[in-house]
Amino acid sequence: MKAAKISFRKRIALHLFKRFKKNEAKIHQLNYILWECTLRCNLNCLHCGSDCTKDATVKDMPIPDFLTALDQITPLVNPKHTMIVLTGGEVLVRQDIEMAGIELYKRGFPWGIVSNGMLLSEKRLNSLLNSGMRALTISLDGLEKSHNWLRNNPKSFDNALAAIRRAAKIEEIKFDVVTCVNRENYNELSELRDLLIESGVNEWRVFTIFPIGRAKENDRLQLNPEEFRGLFEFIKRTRKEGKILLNYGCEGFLGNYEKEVRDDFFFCRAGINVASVLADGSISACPNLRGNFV
Amino acid sequence: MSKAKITFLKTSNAILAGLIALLGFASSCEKINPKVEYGTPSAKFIVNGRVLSADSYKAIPNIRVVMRNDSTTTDSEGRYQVVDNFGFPTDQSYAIQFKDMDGAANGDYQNLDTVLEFKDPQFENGDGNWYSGESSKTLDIELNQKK
Repeated sequence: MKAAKISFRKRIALHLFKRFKKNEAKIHQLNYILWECTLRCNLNCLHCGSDCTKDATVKDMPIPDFLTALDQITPLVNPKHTMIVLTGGEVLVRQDIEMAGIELYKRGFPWGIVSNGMLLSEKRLNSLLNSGMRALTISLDGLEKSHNWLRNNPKSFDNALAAIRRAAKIEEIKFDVVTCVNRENYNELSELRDLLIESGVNEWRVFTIFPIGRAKENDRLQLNPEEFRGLFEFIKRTRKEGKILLNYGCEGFLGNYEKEVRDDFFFCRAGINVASVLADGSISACPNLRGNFV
Repeated sequence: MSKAKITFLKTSNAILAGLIALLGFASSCEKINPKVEYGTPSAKFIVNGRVLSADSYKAIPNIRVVMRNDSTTTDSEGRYQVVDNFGFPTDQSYAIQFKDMDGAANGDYQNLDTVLEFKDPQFENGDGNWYSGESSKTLDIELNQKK
């Protein structure tokens, strides 16, 4: 497959952007912290990039430990401009997320979670909102069959969709849906887009499998080059329609598709603006970069 | 790194963003220097009132009042105030407990659990930003003596 040429105008913009990135790296302002607050999970997804487990004996990092780390760096960051995102595992298996949220809010940090939606009942959503949650991302990896296949659970689609419809009504939070595109759901992207629009979702992110964790063992999870191009064309069309803001995930330079399928040019901010506190307390630039990867 | 150098780098990036925008990648410019106003919508919900004896209508001091993460005890006039400082600015429902903690000292009263709802709450003194302000309600309670 032949790659399309990058236009002259875009090449100049990319050149300027390269300079911009260098400056950003020098400024090196931390403003996004991911906290892998648990490795426990209520699903067993085929593509999971974490080292997650259903083993309830695996201990979560206590809230005070994370807060202590946060308090130590607070003189270096402006809490109001530093987003804390709780990730897992499945964040909502922890019953004390709200306590953590209130403590973050008291310190002035906006915070959000990434969830599979299984435990996001109306009551839990309200509880999170009352604790100051500002952002929410829910995963939906296709229509019922393909989502349940990837999520390895027959009820996961219904639960995720119910959670999405619930969250989409909350105007005060930054809410989006994230979808892992793979060979099982590739042909249903249009239907999935329509379902999300009908459910009231305004923002949607799609990504492709990063070959780490359990994902690297399964061929059905990897798109071939033609499918990649098809995906990018789908994103372009959807963005042009303007009914839902669709972005491709943050990974990788996309050649001529730069700025066509994402709001931004490619810029991995891990280690520049983004840091992660992993479940075992180690510090990483990004949760995708684990102990066995770096 | 000195503040001057950081300022220089930020200024350089603002110029670069402008040039990129001139090339037709305007949204990129906006994203490069995001003016995202992070924050959390919040409101303060205040409940105050008096606790009286159902029999004599006299004030009962030292009754413990608990609402979510706040608690207090009534003063000599039976007055109390409990506050949720980190509420979400929409309809709220609060479970409030009244407990006689001092036994017979000020009369021996039955405990009471009740629910107070804020429907379509109106807020005052917000900052015009994420903080909507405060909303208050009065809840006077009469406690029955233990038999």
